[in-house]
Amino acid sequence: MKQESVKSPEQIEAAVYLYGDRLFRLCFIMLGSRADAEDAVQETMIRYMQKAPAFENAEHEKAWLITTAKNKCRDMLRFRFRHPQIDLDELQSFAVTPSESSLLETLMQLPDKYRLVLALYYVEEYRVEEIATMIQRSSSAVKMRLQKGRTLLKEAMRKEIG
Amino acid sequence: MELQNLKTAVEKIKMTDDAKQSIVRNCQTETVRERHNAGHNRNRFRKPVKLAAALAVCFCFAGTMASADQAGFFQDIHNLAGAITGTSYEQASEEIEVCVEYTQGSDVLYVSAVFLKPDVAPYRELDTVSISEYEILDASGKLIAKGKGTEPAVVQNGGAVMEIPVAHIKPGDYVLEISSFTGEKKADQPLQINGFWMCEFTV
Repeated sequence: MKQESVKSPEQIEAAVYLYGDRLFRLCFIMLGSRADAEDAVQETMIRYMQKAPAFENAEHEKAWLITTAKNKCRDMLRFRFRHPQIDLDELQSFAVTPSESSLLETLMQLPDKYRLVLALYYVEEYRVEEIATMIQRSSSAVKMRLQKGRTLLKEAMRKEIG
Repeated sequence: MELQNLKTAVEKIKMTDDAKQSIVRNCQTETVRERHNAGHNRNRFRKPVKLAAALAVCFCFAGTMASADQAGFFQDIHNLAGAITGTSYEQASEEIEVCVEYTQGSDVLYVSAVFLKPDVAPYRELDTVSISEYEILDASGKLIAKGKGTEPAVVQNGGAVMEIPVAHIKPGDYVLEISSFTGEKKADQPLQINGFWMCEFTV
C-alpha cells in the first residue's frame, strides 16, 4: 500500500457515512456497549485518516477498516481488564421484534471470538479465507470457530425457548 | 433458522446520525491538530472532544528493562527493637507494567497496573491493589501533587485500574511517579510492593 496525503474532510465524511454502521455493528458485537463502540469507530476513522493508504478497490478498503476496528476493540478489551458489560437496554433499542432482541442477546453472551466470526460470516458475508486474513488466524481455526459458534448459539436459543 | 435471522437482527445495530457527525467533526479537528504539530516532532496526540465515553491518551511504563525475569524479593520489616513486624516486596519495578489514561475534561487519571507474572507470588494471591505513594511533577520537574493511598481496586485478569484525582491540575504535560503499591488479600496483612514507575500524561 502506498501512502497518500491526509484525507480531505469530504473524504472522511464520506467514509464515516459509508462504513460507519458496519464498523459500529462489529465493534458493538465485540464490546457490548454503544459508547465503547462509538469510541472504537472514531479511533478507526482517525487511523484511516492518518495512515491514508492507497487501496486496490472498495472491498480492500472495507476489509482494512474492519481489521483495524477489530484490533482496536481487542486493545480496548485488553486495557479495560474486563469482559464487555452488555447493556441489555441498548441491545433491545436496536431490535424491532422480541425474537430479534432475544437473538441479539444470545449472540452477545457468546465469547467474543465466536461473535466476531459469526458476524463477519453471516452478516458481512465474508468468506472463510477472507475472515482468516482479517483476524490473523488459519482458515481451519475460522471454520472451527464458526462451527462452535453455531453450536453455542443454537444451544442457547434452544434453552431460551425450552 | 436462527442463523438466517441473525443477519437481519444484527444489521439493525446502527450508529445515530449525531454520533456520525461527531466522529466527522473530531476527525477534522484531529487533522488540524496534526498539521499544527507536524513541525514540533510530537509523537503523541490529544484526542479531541469526547464522545459519550471519552477517548484517552495512554502512556505505559514497564520497568527499566523489558525483562520477564522476576527481580523482586520479599523482605522482612523490623521495628526498632529488631522484631519482625511485617513483610514487604521489593524491586518490583520490572514486574508490574503501569499505564496511565487521561480523558480530556476528566477529574481523574486512570492508572492501570498489569502484573507481568500474575501466576507467581505475591501477585497471584492479591485480591485488591492500591497506590500507596505517588507524586505528580510538571514538565520542569516541580512537584505539583503528592498522595498516599488510593481506593483499592479489584485485581482481575492479572491487573487492576486505580484512580488518582487530578481536578486541581492545570492543562500541561506531567509525569506521574509511583514508588509503592499496596496489595491486599482477604484475612491477611497488606503487602507493600515497592519499586519505581513513571508515566507521562497530558492534561
